[in-house]
Amino acid sequence: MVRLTHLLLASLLALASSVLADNIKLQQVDRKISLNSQFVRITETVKVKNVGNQVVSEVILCESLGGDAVLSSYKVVETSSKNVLTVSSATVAGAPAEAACHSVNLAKPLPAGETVGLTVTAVLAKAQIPYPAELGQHETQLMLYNGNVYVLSPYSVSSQTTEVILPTSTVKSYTDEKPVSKSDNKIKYGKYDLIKPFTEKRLSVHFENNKPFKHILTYVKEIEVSHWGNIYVEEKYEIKNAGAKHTGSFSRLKYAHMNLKANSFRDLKAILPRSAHSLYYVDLIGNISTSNVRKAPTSTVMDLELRYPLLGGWKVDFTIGYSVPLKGFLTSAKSGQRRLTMDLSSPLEDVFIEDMVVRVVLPEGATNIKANLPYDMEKSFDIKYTYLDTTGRPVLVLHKQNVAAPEHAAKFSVDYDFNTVHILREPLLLVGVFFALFVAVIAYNRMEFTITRDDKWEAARSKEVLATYMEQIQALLEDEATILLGLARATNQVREASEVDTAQREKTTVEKRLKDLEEKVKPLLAAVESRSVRVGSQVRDVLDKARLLQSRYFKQLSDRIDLVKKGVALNEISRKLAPAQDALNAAKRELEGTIMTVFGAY
Amino acid sequence: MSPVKPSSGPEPYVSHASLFETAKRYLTKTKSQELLLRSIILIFVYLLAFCIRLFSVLRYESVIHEFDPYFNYRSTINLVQEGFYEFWNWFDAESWHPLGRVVGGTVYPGLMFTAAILYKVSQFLTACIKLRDICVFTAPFFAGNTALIAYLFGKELKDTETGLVAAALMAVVPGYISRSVAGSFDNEAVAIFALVTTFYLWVRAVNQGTIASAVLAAFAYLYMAASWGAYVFISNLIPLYVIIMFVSGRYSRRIYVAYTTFWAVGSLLAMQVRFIGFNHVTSNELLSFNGVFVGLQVWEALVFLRTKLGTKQFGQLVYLTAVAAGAVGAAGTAILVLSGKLNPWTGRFWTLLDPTYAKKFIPIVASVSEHQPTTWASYIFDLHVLVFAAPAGLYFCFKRPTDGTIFLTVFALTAIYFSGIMVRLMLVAAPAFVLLSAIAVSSILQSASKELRTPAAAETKTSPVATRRGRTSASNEENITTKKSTNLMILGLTFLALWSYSSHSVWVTSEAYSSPSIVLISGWGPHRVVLDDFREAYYWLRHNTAPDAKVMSWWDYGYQITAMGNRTVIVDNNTWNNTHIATVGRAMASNETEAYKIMRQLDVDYALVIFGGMSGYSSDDINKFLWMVRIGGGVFPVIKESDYLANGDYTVSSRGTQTMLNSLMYKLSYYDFGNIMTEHGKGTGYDRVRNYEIGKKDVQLDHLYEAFTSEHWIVRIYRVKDLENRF
Repeated sequence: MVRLTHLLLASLLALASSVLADNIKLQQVDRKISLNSQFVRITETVKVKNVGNQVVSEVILCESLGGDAVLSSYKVVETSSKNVLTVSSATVAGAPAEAACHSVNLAKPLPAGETVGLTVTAVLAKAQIPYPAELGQHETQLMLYNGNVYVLSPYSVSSQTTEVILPTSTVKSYTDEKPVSKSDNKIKYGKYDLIKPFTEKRLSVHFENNKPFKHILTYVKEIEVSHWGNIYVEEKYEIKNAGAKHTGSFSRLKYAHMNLKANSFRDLKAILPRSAHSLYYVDLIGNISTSNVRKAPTSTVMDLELRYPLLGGWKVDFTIGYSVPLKGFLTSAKSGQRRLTMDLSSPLEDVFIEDMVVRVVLPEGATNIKANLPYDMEKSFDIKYTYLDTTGRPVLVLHKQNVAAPEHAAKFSVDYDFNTVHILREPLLLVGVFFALFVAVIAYNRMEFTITRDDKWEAARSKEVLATYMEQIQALLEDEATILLGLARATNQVREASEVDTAQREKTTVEKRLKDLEEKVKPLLAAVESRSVRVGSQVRDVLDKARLLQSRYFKQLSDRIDLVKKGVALNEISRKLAPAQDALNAAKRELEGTIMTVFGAY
Repeated sequence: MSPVKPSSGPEPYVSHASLFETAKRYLTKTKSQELLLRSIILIFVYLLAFCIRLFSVLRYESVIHEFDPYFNYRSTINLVQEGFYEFWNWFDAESWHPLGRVVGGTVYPGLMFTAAILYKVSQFLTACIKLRDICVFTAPFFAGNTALIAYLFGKELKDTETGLVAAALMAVVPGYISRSVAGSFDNEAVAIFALVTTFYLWVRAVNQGTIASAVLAAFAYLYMAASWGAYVFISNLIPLYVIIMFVSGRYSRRIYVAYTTFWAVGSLLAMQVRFIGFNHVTSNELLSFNGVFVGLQVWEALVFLRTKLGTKQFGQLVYLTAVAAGAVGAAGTAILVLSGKLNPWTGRFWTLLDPTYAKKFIPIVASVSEHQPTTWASYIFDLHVLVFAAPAGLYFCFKRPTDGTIFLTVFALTAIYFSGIMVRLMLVAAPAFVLLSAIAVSSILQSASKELRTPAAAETKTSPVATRRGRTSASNEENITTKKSTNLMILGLTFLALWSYSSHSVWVTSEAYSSPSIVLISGWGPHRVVLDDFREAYYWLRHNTAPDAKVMSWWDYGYQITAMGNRTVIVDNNTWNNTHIATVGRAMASNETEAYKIMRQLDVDYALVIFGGMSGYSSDDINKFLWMVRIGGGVFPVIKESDYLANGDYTVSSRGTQTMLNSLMYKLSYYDFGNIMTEHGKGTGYDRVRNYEIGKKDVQLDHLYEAFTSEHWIVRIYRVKDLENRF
């Protein structure tokens, strides 16, 4: 609907301006048509005069598009102030079919009798047609350009000249509309005086042009922002040599050894941001091993070689990708608003892109997405699911056709709101999943799925219960060992008679605690014995040994206290008690060994 | 204290130890230390098994290797994109033009399913892993799994220690690595896992004698049957094992339960694989599998009846049964032979029994390098120290035989025999060698370290006694030290052997088994030259020929052309139709006019040859030409090998025969080559593979023209001209 109204408006405007056509005259038009590349680049300097008696705010300018040619870029600048003027396409009554007309909004309305200078730059693609359409490997490429000798205009033109610039001086033929002159690689037409509106006279130039015709059929660029610190860029290309079609055989011998390469090309050059890293250059079947990367002062230059040389009409596809850090590309305001600024078009030099799609993948939770574009593009939104996404990432999709490489290279920016909390989504998700997993495992282990409770089950169950008792007894024995260790420490601290009381106090507490343990182990032992007499007797054995060890510890303490009371020297005490200490250690080791054999299985 | 009910037991004891102390106590326990150590070892073994296979990715890139993996990759793409049923019904018109191939019915789909499931799971977990990367890393992933299974197997056969040694040995055994490096997306990548799992579960089933364990083994067998044609090895080995157990008198009811269940469930499951289907019942290759089942039933019935019948009656019954069995068997065989259900023994069968069979009768089998008999050197290369450790393992198996070790022995002996016939079957022998070696190594280590530890304890015990008896203690100590040094020496030697094994494995993996063979790299650093000609040419085909163009090449490159070039081929690596391959061989061997007729008949648009004369790439089509002549001549007697031999020698030098120098293969390989100086100081047309100047330098083509030649001339593609206008 919106587009329809636009169209209607445009045609209304067109009607209005055609009414005004008599009011405007082009005093002087100087036009340069450069055929020195795969494009047709036209530069016009136009002097517009208001010859009516009303103020004029709009001027109609037209370009001639022959055949399949498309207007890729169209820009009008006011010559004196260098202001870029707004341009909208317009249909003009009486214009020939091949004319592409635009209505230009002047920066300030042009009063009657005044003049204004405008500079028009237009880039036409597919305007050069290979002729002949097919080419052998040893031949050079000839192109045919069809345009209009005169500037197409709804206004009458007082004076005009046209200059055609060619890549070489080899010209097969050109339209001979006097006055015309050819020197080296230039053909000059005019000056022509007093040309009526929309006067047509075909301008045809047949010339040599061995420049590569690098047409990118489809170009998809995906920019993925991760607030963890990285921006991933991946660009997919499908490229074709749109020059004259290769015919006959392709001889590698002639190509490599005799340098007969016709209109083929193999090299591409991509200018990436200086901070680009983790570059790759691949296609469907793996890496393309012919590429080179170097760092320039302000950029990273990627010299790409295609898998094979592209002769006329040949195609290939490839993908390049790289990462850049957030710094320098993403800015954020305090309010949570972010601005991403990136290159909009392809980083390749001197290419024509028929269909360009730029996808900006923003992190989950980004809202209020707005794009600031240097030129009009179709906008739409999409959702993409990648690593650990739950609701999907919002994608801004920008689409444009007929993009020319240097002309459309510009920065664009995307504004969006993003709360920093959202970057925790993914780690929290992982934590949650693992937590749930562990909980599930714990729950599973606590559940029982037995259908029949037979003898086997009973035995297994009894064994399990036994194991828990054994574990408890073992823990109890370990606690006992810790307590005895404390007692031993207290024993060693008895150095003089004054310290005896502390040791005695320690002894009573230890005795109490051991008694306590003794009480606690009794029911456990009984429970074990009720399940297995064999294991019960083993445990009893261990407990006996433990008791023996206890008495050794106590004996050691009381002996030491006695000796200290007697006032024996410390080293003498150690010497006297050494055999008993050795025996104690041996008993301790033996107990540990027995514990290991008895309890090790549980 | 309230009286405790007997069922609820006594009040549980709660330790007073702090959390830190509890953790410390736990960690100082031998049992938990052992568990910790074991898990760490297993994790490292798993990582090692995975990582050692990544040389190819690090040195080259994440790319599918060689030939067959490209078909598997293409099938996996089809499976993922079209879904299960479409894949099952897939008729591939892009190969074997104009016959096509029923892929769904002629493929072992286990690998593709595995990769597709891994892909779907990763998608579900929102991990955006590309399908190609899934396929590339499937083999290393399964190698890790195989190592874990080897651990379980070792544990089942002997003990935990053996399991650990087996896992470690399995992780790096070169014979297995050769087929499972990253990018080697071939059936064997998952099949070895399936094979070892089936054997492990079978041994477990025999040990347990339960239906559940046998059913589990049957499912592992299904995975194996779905993955690789060598499933027949399992279904012959297991009956063989049962027979051996029977003969050796170790037959038990456990084996009966395991085998009967395995047979019933396993057969049903395996028959679900379309490529197998009823072959599982009718094929001769599975005769023993089915026969042993019947035999066991009869035996068990007789055993049952003997308890019910008297001796005389039982004798009559046995007599009757024998007669009936003989009659039914004879009649059945007659019926099957007459109805054509009983296929004669196939070539594959004879090839496996008679190493020279293929050489004599099936040139297409003999032409494949991996079907050649194994040399001794390759045993050392692929198994290294295992070759010597395995016999020791056999000794330990015989010393203390259990049901499990007897199975291992049977497995090992048969696997060793088959590995001697075909290089490729080294893969099957590798697990057997690993397990035997693990038993040997762990037994040696156990006994040595045990003896090292026990005298130390004995010493402390005897020390007070020793002080009293001075003289004996000296000799005793001497004895102990000599024993100690012997044991230390044994430990050292074992360590040395294992160390050299591991370094050998790493070296072999990095040097021999990690080349994708689709990209060739020569030189290092700044002198590194990458020959990426295959992909260059295939990608050219993909983008710059008509979508329905047919490409004729020798069958080796069929899979690659369809997968990477996305174009129809005449023959490919499936080699199911010998005549078709022979036709291509005949075209390559004929002169251009004759070949043109054949190519017109086959709708060929492009002819593709691999040529190494320029770059020195030695496995090119001229070197394979002898097989084209032999296979072509095997079906079409017009092609006579003698016409191509100059003094018994295939040569393309000036000594070469006219037939040779006028053959299509010669022309396509050497077109334009006669004008080039390839090496300094040599004349033009100097072939760098064959190291001489070619015989005929001025090659003219009448019916074809050069359409594309890759940068280093390795791949040359020619367009077949249309018929000339007659008016």
